Amino acid sequence: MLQHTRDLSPAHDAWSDVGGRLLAALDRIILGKRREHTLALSCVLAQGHLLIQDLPGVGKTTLAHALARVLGLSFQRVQFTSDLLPADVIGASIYRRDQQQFEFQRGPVFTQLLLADEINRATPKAQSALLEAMEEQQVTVDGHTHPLPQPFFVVATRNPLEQAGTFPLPESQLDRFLMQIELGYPSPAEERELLTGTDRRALLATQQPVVDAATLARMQEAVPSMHVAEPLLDYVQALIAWTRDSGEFAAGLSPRASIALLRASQAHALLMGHAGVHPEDVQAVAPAVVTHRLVTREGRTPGNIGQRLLEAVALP
Amino acid sequence: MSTGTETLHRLLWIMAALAAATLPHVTHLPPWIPLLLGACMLWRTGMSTHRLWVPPAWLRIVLATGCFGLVYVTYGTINGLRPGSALLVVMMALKLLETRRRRDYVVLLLIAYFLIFAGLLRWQSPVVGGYLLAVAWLTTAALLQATRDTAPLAPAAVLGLSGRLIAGAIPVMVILFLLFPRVPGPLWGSGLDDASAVSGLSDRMSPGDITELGLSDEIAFRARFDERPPPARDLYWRALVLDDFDGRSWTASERTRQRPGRVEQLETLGEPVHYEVVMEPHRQRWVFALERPGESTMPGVTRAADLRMTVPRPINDRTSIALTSWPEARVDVNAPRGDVDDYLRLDPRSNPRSRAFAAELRARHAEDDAAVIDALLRHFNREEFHYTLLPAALGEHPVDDFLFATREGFCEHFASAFAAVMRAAGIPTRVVLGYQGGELNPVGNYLVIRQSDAHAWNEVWLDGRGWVRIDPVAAVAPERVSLGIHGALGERDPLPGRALRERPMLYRAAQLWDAANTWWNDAIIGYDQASQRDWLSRLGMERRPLTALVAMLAIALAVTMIVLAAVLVRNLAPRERDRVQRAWQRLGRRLGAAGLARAPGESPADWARRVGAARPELAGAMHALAGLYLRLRYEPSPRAADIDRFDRATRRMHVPRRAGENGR
Repeated sequence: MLQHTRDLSPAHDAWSDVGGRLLAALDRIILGKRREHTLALSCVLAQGHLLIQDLPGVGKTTLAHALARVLGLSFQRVQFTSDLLPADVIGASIYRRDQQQFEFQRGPVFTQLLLADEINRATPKAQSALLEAMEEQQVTVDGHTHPLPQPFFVVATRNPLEQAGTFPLPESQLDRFLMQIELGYPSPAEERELLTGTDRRALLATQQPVVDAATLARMQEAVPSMHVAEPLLDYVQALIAWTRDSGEFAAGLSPRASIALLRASQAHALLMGHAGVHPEDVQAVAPAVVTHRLVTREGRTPGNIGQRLLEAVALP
Repeated sequence: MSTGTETLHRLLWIMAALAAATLPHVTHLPPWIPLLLGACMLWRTGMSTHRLWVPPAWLRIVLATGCFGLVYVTYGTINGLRPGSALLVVMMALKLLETRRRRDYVVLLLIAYFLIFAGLLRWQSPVVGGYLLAVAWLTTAALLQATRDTAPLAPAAVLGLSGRLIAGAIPVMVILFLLFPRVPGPLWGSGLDDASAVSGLSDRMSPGDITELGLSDEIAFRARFDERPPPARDLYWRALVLDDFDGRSWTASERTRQRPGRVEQLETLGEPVHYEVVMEPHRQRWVFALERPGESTMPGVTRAADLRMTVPRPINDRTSIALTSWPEARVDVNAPRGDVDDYLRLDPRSNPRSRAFAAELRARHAEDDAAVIDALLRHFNREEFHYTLLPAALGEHPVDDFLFATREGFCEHFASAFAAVMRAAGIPTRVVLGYQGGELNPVGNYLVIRQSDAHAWNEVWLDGRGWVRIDPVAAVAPERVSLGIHGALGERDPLPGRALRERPMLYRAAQLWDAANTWWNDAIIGYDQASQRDWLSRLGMERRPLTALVAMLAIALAVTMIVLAAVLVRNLAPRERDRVQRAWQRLGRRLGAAGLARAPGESPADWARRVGAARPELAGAMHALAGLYLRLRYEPSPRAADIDRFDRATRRMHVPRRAGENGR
């Protein structure tokens, strides 16, 4: 019978090998979250930023920390609170008496992986300081522009339960995040492993980087040139069109969102070692890419929209 | 509900279709009817754009009754094609005033279709046929717009859709045309209204009669020869023989022709010529036959004593008759002198100078009839006689005036004068009316004979030779006979079609067009029961023609419908024509039959996993097929060998039925 052979070109073979090792390393630290790890890595490879929406204590911080470790990135964490000032994130100019001049004191944003914890607790002013840095990849203070380190990757978290005293992110700013994922509770077996096994933080400390910054940069560069066939573009467009035509949403997805969906799919294909983007690459990332960008006509977050979208739109 | 602009948009489509369907009828309608239609269209548009007053029901009833009455008064009846078309247009105009809902639009467009049928009943030319096909296209597009639930389509889109619908109907049309059992006789009427005049010969010849015909470029008939047509100088087409002369006009007397025992003898000599004449309707019973016609084998076609060919009823439709002629035959050689003396009668009071001239000729040549004839022809030739379409008027004694005063005229002047002088000189003479010449259409390889080819010549009876053809015009203008009328007349003569003849490209185009029309009339309009029986018998099915036709009709229609359905289904999914995708869909159908169809949004890998879970024996094969499919469809540069492999593998894929689920 038919043999499922593939003559893989060295490039994507090599990347899928790297991708496999990255995923294995994350899986070792956080149990049973293969899907979320794949999405998070795809998000990094697509040079997007990640929003994690979930309850406290399910491992959001650990995931961010683990990503930084395996990718060999410098890591900073900012706990967003209602009294947080923009300067607390991006830094400020301080007058140095000994040198008789102002000197820019870099804030925590000058790192490669920034964990912005509970971003919706901060005031819009502080939020937008971070979001501008994410968009521009640089910080401007007192007329001086300071480029951020490369790569620059933000993992923000938000708590869906505590609404009191929070400042929900407006849609325009949510759009800055390539993906939003949820982590969810671990399965009973995984939870038992957590209870009995080694402490995760200790594991983290022992984890060696899988890639260096240069390799990561090359992987990121390879993403936009990942092969996309005509029928796949048809599929991506059909998905986007459905959100515009269904009448369920206040607004359909923007062209920026369709580019985001394609880039995320390409990153996922690279990670999976595919020679071209497959429909399942699109399907894997689509819920994470579209959910936070859509609001129903009534102003609510649509339920289960990712799955409904994929069921409604036929593969071309 | 649709918005106001959408309603207006639909209305404009509908009114365009109505106007186009009415257009061919306009010149045949009393002028108030097109005006009424235009007014109703404007008013209806105003109702949409400016909220004009909607005429109430009582007013519409009054209008309708009044208009029906007017149509009745105009035509004296409401039956028939003309009043019928008029009523359709009136109904359409008034219905327009009360259109609000989709049903009203549909009724209006149905009337437009009826008008298209009425047009086809009246005109059968390919031009009108093509125009009415275009109108049907437009009307169908309007129907599509009118019955859409959603917003109207763009013009290109709706015309494209309508065009595809009509294109789909064309095979069905061809099958019905060829195979639907025909009733005897032509399918269509003559297309002639009772009132419309036709130009052509009449059974009376006075000075100026044929001159008038010479101005007409209308086609009298066409002739198609089995072999090469005879040379132009032999193309004398006989229609009528005139024997009675009152001093001015020649007429055909029944008396001479019907005398018992006066059957002329045709002595066939030389080679026969076989040919077919296709006559335009001329409302007379005579048939144009090449000199000298033999008996016809066609039923109803008879040959009279003086070799005229006739049919039992006037020719009101284009009629085709097969004939055989012997150009060199001798006629009535052995007739008793007493019988042919009938052709000597003359009115003793008219044309005295001509009779004196005849007596003079006779005295000079004694008993030699041939010499008398020659002398008169020489007289025509030597004296200043002119062949022209613009002769001077003739007085009380027309032959005298022509011979001795004006000395100019057309064929009827020469034939009439010749016959009068011959009779006065004691030589039995008659006038033959018909056509001379004909113009070869090289495209269709047939001769076209026009009214301007109408001609009159003479026959004299000579002892021992029978009736001999003498064409006095040949003595004056020999080129009339060898080159046709266009070669014989001067620049001054107002001949029709001269401009056309002077432009070779146009002339060629006109010939092509005539050939196309002739083909259309023969093959399309002329396709009747006889044609149907003819090809049936060639296929060996003459025994039960009706059964054969109905059976073939049913089979052909069924095959066409299946093919059309297949084409439609393929067109619905144009992208699926690609081979990989076809194979993939084949796989989907096979697994679907086993209850494992792919969900529309299910990815190949997910489907393969689901199938593998449900039917572990298929897991390996499905995994491999899904992988190969993804590679062929979504990865760069698929290999042809892989496509073949995939195609074969999906064909071989066999989904065994499970023991427990037979025939679900």
